[in-house]
Amino acid sequence: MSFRGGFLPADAFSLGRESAAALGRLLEEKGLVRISVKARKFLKLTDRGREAADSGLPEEKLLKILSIGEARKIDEIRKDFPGSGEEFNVALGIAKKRGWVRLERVGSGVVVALKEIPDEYPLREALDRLKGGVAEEGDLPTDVVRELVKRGLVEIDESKEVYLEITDLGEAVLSGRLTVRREVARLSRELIESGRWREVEIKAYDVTSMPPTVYPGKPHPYVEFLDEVREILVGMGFLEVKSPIVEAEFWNFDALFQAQDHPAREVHDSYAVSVPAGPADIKDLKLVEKIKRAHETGEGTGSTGWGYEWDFDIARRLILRSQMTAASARTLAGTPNPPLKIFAIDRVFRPEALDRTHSMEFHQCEGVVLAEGLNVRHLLGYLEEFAKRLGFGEVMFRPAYFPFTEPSVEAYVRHPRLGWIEIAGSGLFRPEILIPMGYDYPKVQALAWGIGIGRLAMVKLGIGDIRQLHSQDLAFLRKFPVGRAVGLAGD
Amino acid sequence: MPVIEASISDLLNLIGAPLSFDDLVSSLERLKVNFEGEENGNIILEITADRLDLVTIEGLARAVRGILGLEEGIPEYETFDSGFEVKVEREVLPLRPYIACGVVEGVNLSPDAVAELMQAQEKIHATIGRDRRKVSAGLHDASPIVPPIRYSAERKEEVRFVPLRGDYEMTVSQILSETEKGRKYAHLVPGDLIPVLRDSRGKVLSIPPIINSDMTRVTEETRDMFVDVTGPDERAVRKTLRVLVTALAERGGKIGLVRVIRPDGEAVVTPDLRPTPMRVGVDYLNLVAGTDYSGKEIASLLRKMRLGAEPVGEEISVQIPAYRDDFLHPVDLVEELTVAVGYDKLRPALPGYVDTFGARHLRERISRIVRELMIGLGYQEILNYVMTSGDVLFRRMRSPPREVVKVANPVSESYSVLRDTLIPGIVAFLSKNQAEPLPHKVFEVGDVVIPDPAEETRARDERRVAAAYEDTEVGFEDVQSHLFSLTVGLGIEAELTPTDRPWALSGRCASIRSGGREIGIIAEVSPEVLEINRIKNPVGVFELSLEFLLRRRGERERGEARGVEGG
Repeated sequence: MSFRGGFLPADAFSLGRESAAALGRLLEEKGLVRISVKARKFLKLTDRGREAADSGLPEEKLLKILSIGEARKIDEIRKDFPGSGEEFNVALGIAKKRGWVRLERVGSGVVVALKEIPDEYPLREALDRLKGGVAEEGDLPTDVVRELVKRGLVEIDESKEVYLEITDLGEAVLSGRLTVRREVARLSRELIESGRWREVEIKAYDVTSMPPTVYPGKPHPYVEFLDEVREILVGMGFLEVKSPIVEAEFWNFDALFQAQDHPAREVHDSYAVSVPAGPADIKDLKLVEKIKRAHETGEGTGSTGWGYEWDFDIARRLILRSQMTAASARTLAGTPNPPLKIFAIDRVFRPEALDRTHSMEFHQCEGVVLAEGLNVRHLLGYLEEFAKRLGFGEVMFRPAYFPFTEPSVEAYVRHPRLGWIEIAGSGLFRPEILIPMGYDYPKVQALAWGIGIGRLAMVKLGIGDIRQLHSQDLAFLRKFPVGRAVGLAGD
Repeated sequence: MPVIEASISDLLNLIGAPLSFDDLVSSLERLKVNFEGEENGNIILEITADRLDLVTIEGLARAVRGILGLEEGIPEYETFDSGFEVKVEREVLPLRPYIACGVVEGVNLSPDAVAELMQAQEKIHATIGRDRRKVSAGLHDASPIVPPIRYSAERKEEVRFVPLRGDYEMTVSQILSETEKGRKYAHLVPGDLIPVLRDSRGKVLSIPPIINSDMTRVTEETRDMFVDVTGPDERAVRKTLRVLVTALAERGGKIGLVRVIRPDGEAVVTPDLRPTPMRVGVDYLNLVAGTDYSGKEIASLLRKMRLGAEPVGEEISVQIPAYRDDFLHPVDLVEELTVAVGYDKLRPALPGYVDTFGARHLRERISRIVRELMIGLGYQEILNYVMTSGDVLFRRMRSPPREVVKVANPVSESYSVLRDTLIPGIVAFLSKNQAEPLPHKVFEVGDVVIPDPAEETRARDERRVAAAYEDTEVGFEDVQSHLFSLTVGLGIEAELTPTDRPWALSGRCASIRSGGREIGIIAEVSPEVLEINRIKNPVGVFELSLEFLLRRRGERERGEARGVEGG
């Protein structure tokens, strides 16, 4: 096998394509040959093309049965045409387009008159050429090739030709100016134990080339982000609490002084549970009685109450937890001794159709600071501290309305790309909540805030579609830079 | 929360001061009105649910004048005896018992104003009105009305009039079946009777809560107006009337009082525009707001919120205007104070003395360890929804339906029940990722919800881990070795005993047991289930409950635990 001083197609070896290619690559890695690839496109007649080449294209057949100066009815010509009706239509269309014939309406019919018979027809020339064997794409005019391919008469075969060219190093080896030592790809146990590593050359790698892809076990970015938020809150001295997903309206609404005809309690704003049927088994009937009075007349709280008849049956209805404040209500109802700082991060449920920005199920992060002597400025202070720890520099507050807090405040942070974004709804729990639970109001105050943590995660993780927080796409999860959850890269 | 659209020029006219657009927006935002956008000379605003008075443009202008210091304190509205009387007949009580009415004379309505009044009426119906169930209001041109007015119940067939913007006379039955508003609200007036307001000549003014008569249609030319508000809740009815008549009075009208005579002969004069007094301690306001103002300073700040306020010793004597109904407790004055001060002026502070110690919930701490072990075993974490469908839980697992938590009002069948096991969601996940390179090793740590009559809310959440391994050649033993790595990592001694599941390959399914209790399941997924989910490779799965770990840890800790650990 000698290929000194020139190119050879890889096929030229008696090795077979596969082994020649492998050998070529090996020689290339060693710098003995250079490999180049040429892509070529060959034109080939299809079965239909071969038939047309032999017995004529439809338009050629049409020309044969017409004579100059004679106008004939279209139906007559159709009868004489030696091919199918479909072919006839094709032929007539082409003949008209090329200006060979003229169509005229005479009475109720159409007549066809032959205007000229072309001297040359490029399609015919191409077919004749291809009948003789293959041609390369560039051998024929582009528009002719395009038309033949479109009409299914010709197909294009692509093929690659690989060429090997010997390098200077290769020449040197061949001429015997260099000697060849045995080279190994891997250092092995056998080589180390036997000491033969001394005799071999350990192959140098192209350390800049990309490795094969592996799919390691990886945390989910959203779970990781939620854990990061937990980390921040624990660092600020908050204790995590839980509450059940299937919840009694009592804890979700009534204990939070949300009136029973409050719009948020209507059927389109929370999921009613039909199985299990309920009612909830609320055990602390003393608390129930106090909350009933707070709603009805405000008795014992200094409030006027909502002035309606409170219904325990409504309070005992089962729903899917619609706000994490339910977890705060349950914890505070246990009347722990202040000071207390709690948080809850979990899923809440609302009857929404799932789309880019809405979800029937999303996470909320709820926090409460319960202590003596707290005021509105402390609420702002905790929110500011939390925002800072999440990596936001500027915080702004605006008044808001929530049924269970007064005053109520919304916190916004400045995002470098998105501008001001709302991160938390917050406020001081109303006396109608704290007093029935047994707290010494106004000495003891509860600062509370709720964060749509999913939206914040989207900002931090650089996700534009809320459904991606629960992505069903393994490729997305495999590629996702989880480090964004702790502020590495991304926003 | 209601969203309203206001003509910027009309709003600025009512405010009565030249304001730049930015200043207008920032004043509104200070008043907790959310700026949503601007379109064709209109400003789009979101009003909070507690401030019904701000759904009227006139009310917005009134509040902005206060915060800008153009006009302070409680607005005074001139009233007079209109001489109108509304007689309530006994028959209407079971249908829609309460009515409150008012007259406003001498209003100036621009074309924008007519549209804005209609909008305010719509928003009132949508919010406090609960879609006209709780409150409905009618605005009339008062000039064709000859008092006294009768509020009674009549047979639907016998009441005929031209409905608002209608062309011909119709019976109520026709209105309810043929007009848009009639069809929309017909469900509010079942039965043969309908509430009717007629004047002394017998002319129909309206059939609350459906539609007014065209005779009293309000136009730009209207100068004197009659307002009726009806509903089953007296407090809401009277409050709505106060909001509407005071808004109209902001357009230069004088408020005329109406005598409503109840069937028992008792006469009530509406609207009642007397302010509500409230006393609050200066200390209390400063304590909650975190401020240090004198009584005089506080009173002046509250007057900017259009309240009447005078310092009296250590207290503030506050007068709350009749159009506001959001003061249940003195705490509601704290917000008036903080809003008047402005949140940009309240300095954030940390108390410094609140010594508490933080911790994650045990459930999350254990979950974290499980997640780390699973990731170490090469599994990708996934996160599915707790809400799912019977199709995913049962049909696609070839399993007969079980009792699971179900919602009564699902938006989509795909999210209508709560999962009681993690495995079907993981199988569904694999099914959607068949084009992705193998192997597929995925796991989820999450809650399932199990109906349980012994629980307070008849169901309990259970934290579990589940994993699936899909590859061209995967068997029971592959996931089995991963399961045992996990249990060893968690310090659990687990053993397997043969069992069956409808979705598992027979003879390759085992119950995971520890300490005599079943704590999980491990199996190869049956080819039937693979086929129905279009999964092309064998799949091994396991699911393990983490609750017993929580209990075990809980038992160990009992007695030494201090403070609360919720849940």
